[in-house]
Amino acid sequence: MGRNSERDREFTEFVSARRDGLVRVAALLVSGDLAKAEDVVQTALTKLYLAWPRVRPETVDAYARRCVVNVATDEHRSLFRRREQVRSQLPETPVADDPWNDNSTVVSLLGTLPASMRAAVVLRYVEGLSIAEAADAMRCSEGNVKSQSARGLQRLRELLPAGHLTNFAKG
Amino acid sequence: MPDVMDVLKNLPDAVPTGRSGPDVVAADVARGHRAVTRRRWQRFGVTGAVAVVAAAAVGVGAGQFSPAPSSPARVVAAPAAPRLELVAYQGNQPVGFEVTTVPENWKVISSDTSSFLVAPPGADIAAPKPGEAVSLEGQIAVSLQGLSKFPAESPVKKVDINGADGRLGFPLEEEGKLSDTRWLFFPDNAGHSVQVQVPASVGLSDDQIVSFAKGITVTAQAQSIGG
Repeated sequence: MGRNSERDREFTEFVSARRDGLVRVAALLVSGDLAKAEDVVQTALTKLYLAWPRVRPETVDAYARRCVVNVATDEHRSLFRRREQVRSQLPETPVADDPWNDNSTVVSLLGTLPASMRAAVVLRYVEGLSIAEAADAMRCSEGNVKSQSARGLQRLRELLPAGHLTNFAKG
Repeated sequence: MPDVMDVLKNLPDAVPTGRSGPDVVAADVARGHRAVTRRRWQRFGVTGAVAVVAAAAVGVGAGQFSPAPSSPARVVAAPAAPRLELVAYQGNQPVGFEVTTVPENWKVISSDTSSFLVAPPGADIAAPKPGEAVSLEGQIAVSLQGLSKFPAESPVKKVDINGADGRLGFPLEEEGKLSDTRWLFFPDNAGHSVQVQVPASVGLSDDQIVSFAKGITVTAQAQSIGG
């Protein structure tokens, strides 16, 4: 029972410190849907808990990030497979009236990128990871991260309305 | 003129934080606990009785069971184990269940909201590592039934558990060969499907397993592990 208590204590400390960051990454990987991001992080943290005794302290951040990217990618795939549901009435949608709204254009555009390209862009340019760190999180080669992130960035440049950058410059 | 990269760099500050606080973190830990339990049971129930392989087991009267259709499987023959007596249980009740009778001097050694273990005196109660196969040899395990089900090869004996239909049978030890561990599935009044697992080495007769099961009540705290 002592091992469990120790694991719980360490895991609790880690989650307390890192959860917000993981939700943020997940949100950007699932097109800004916070509820879905929460689901992704919960699943990822469960995987992390199972693996906790095998994960070295110095690599736990990378492991957690990798879990989030994997689960988010799986989530994307399952959404892709999910069949469209036809309804007679449009669902009610909340009015976006928060600061997040100003960046919703960028997040929406991120959502149009293929999953691996989006992950490369988010990890490299939003989270500021090195190429090696991003490759580890995505479980792919560094060359793949370079090409995916470069192409993703180029795609965003093409898609982002010019006015958005102007507004951004004005603050 | 800023570039897309500048916009991306500023996104972290703009993304609202998710739910947070001690309750949220505690829920993450609880999910981890349930996952460990689920994996433990899956390892045992699905991948095939790691513990059962090593079981020194008691012969189960296969003749008492109705034969499974075209069953080539056979139950492992086993030496007799000392017969136990069921007595009223006086110790701490498990989480999520109440138990009224246990083999004499046995006690509940661990429990969570989906399962509990009853073991003889001196049983090792060290917590397993996540993902580690757990030996339930010599212990009685009770859980809300997840994915476990009788293999087609198993004979199934219908028994009465407090007026409900229970089913007593065997898991597979390996392909084509039934284990001597017995599984009893029965529904409780609230509709939970309860699984009792009794390795032959425990030494309980079928009637004793049924009597033990009759003393199990699933409480409102219980949660199915689903796996």
